[in-house]
Amino acid sequence: MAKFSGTRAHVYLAMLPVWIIVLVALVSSTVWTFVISLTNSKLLPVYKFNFFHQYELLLKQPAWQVAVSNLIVFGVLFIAICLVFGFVMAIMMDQRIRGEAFFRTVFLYPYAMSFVVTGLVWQWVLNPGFGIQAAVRGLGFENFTFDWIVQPDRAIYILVLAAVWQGSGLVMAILLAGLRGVDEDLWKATRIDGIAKWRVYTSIVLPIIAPMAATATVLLAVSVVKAYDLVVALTGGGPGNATEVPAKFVMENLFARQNVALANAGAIMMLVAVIAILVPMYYARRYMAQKAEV
Amino acid sequence: MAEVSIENLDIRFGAVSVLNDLNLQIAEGEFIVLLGSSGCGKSTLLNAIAGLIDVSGGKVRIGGEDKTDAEPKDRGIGMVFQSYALYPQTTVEGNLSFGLRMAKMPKDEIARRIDRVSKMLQIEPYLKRRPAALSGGQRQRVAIGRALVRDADIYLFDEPLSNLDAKLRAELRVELKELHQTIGKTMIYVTHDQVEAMTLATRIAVMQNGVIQQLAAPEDIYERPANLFVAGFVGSPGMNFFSGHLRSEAGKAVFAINDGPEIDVSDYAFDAPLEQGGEAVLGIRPEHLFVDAGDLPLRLPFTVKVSESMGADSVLWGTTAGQKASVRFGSDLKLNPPRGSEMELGFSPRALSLFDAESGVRL
Amino acid sequence: MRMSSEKTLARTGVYAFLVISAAFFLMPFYVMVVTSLKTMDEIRVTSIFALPDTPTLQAWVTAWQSACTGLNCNGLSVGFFNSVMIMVPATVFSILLGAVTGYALSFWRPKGTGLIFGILLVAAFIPYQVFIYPLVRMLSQVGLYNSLAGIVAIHVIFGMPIMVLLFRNYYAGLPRDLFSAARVDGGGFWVIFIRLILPLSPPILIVAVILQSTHIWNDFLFGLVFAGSDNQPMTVLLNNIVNSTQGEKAYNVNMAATILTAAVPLIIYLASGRWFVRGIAAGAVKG
Repeated sequence: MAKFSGTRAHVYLAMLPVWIIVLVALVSSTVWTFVISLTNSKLLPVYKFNFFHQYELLLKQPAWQVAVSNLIVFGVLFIAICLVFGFVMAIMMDQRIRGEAFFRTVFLYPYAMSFVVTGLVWQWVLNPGFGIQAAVRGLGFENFTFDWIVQPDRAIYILVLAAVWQGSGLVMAILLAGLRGVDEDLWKATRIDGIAKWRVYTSIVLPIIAPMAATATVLLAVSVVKAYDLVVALTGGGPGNATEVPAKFVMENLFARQNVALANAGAIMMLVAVIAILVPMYYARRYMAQKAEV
Repeated sequence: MAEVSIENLDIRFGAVSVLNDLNLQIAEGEFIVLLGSSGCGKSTLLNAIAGLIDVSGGKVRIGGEDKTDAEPKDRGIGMVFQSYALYPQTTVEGNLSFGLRMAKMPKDEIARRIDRVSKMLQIEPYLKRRPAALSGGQRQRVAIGRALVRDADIYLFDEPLSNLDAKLRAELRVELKELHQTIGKTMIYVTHDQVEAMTLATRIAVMQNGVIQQLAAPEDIYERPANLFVAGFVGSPGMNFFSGHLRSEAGKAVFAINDGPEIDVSDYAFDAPLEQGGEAVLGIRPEHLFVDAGDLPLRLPFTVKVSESMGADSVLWGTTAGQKASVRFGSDLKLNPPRGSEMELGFSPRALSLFDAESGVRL
Repeated sequence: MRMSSEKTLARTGVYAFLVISAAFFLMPFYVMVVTSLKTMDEIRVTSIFALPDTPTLQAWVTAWQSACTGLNCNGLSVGFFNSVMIMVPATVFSILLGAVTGYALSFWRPKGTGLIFGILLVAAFIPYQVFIYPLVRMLSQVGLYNSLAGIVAIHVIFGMPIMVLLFRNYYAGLPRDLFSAARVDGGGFWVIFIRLILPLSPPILIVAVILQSTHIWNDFLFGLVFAGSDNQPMTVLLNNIVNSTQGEKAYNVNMAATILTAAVPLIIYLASGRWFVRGIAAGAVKG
């Protein structure tokens, strides 16, 4: 066909690297991981299929169960606090304040830093012997206790604290961009109608910036499922297994424990979790878009 | 050499068919305007002629050669876009010469062409400037210049004046007409503006839903619209339409407006002899209705609602037998009847159009 | 004009909230800096919030030159140079790939555009653990596992989806007429890209550089798995230094090392200002 001449050939040539990456590195990797998860592979892949045996093992394994329940607690708190705190910060930033650039820089700088750095800083700040606890006791409050980082039933909240510190600025930035996009005339109209400001934010502005909030939620949710570096740096999963998470479980079974099939079953479960987040989101968006068209 | 012929053209985007089995013959030196509202397929047709979109079926011939799958640069065309589409990072001169440099044309020839075109369009003073430093009108002149330096056989215009303000639009319209008369090349021009279409075109193709509704000279489109769509689309205020019933009676053709008077339309130039009557629509342009009926043979009652003066012209809005109607007349009549006034309007059978109510086709 | 007392109260509340929030965000950084300037003796007896008595850069020197991971005492500098060696080529290649592909997808729309777009959109969200094992095997097969080229390739592969989406969205916002005009003028695929599209791309190139360089610098997982001991990036080395269980903990050195590791992205962040926010907004479009 004449269409596949000169210029067109260059287009397909330019698309080649991406197709190779997509097919080899992404699609076939995913399939391979899934296939291995159906076998009994330990250190090296052995293609003796045992189908969903590994998944059964995985779901029965206390370490995995703990990791999943930790992740749920962490995820729910982290996302909820980030959204609320980020939204309030965004609203405050939107009050024609002085020093907006300064506050924006301060709220967002942790997001520029790695999870490893975040984890190590908070590990030090919360160090029971030297950190906040020691500092407050040094002021004369001898009985002050804030040693959650070494308390098995509290350490997960420390993870939330560090993650909120790192990520809430992002929510602020996204939502502030949304607030700035709200039509000025709408604000004028609500003032003429005499509607209280907080009402406007909750009843009128919030629905308008809902798509942005949804975007932020998806970004946060996906980062929750991926959570690994922060845990390694902050608590190493401890004390005990109080802050173990699925990503770390997978990595350990992949490398330290050489339990490849089980690890890959875990990885596939993580993928399923992400899909479970994305699919409803996608349909919600389509539904909203259709509603908007009518 | 530069006639364009579109044969059985099909264009689909996925499952959506935009153009279906479209045919259009354009002779050398014509100024064809594709007129229609947005989404009618006029820009798609132009882009298909330019080779900017893939054709699903049919042929595009330019100068007798099959160019259906040819690259845009190999079609002997120059094109002007609505958003000007000037290359922002280079000067006016760079914009004009870009295509010629692509084609590896000798430097002195490029200089000669730029010189000629910039003189013709009076853009010489801006040659060293960047597009961002130009006004809208200047930018569109440069965009036209960029098409002209290509010395193409055919020039394509995609709503070139739509981004300009009313005054500039009128000025550039005249310049474009002059340009066509000067260079005499084939031009195909897309617009939704009926004034541009009426003033520029040698022939207008009125399009709707991917179909050419009528292809004719501007006067024909205006005076003898082929169907209700064309009649309603062209003209401002729009043509008056009165629903009613047409019947043949004792060698006479009679149109009875619903709940209104009967009108003898025997002197109307029917496309085909009237055989039997039926539901029909009578159309008449507002300026063909006269407040001062004089000796005009046909009459219509009219009840005034609103009167508008637009300077040279005035328009009365109201009803005839309960159906909406408007009348246009010269402001020199100094007419300003109060709301609710009843009057009788006169008109001539030659100014009429009659359409079949169901198919919309001219009778 | 005088403000009502109610309004004054509200303003005060707004500023109080902002200042307290700012303190929360700044506190760890402050602690990090003052700790790094103290001696270990001082750290043992003073509060973490106290300013150093006699500030010293000794901990910084130690962190850079001679901090230990296990028996290796070559400091963080090794990791710094490794990270630079990884970041520069990985950033350049992933941006080039993203720009060319984004351009092809938005202007030329080759067959399969919708499919690849969908795959990339999903791929941007998939947990990396899904790909790690197969990629370790594949890279070992071609001898790139534990090599600089290998870790760069990994960053290019996983940076690709977001880079392509970033550029595609930016290019989708450019007027299509411009591209059509260039085609009528006879430009081909590469000519239009280099002479027309690239000169229009600086804003998105800046965003892409910020996004990719900070991303790659901050990466821990890929560096840990794919880089090998000779190419360990700074983050991995830092974690090994701080969380190494051998010997007495030198908190001042640890904090100096942490600041040093955070320095590059922080400098990029502070220097880029609003561009960083634009990068986030652009990155957020993938949602």
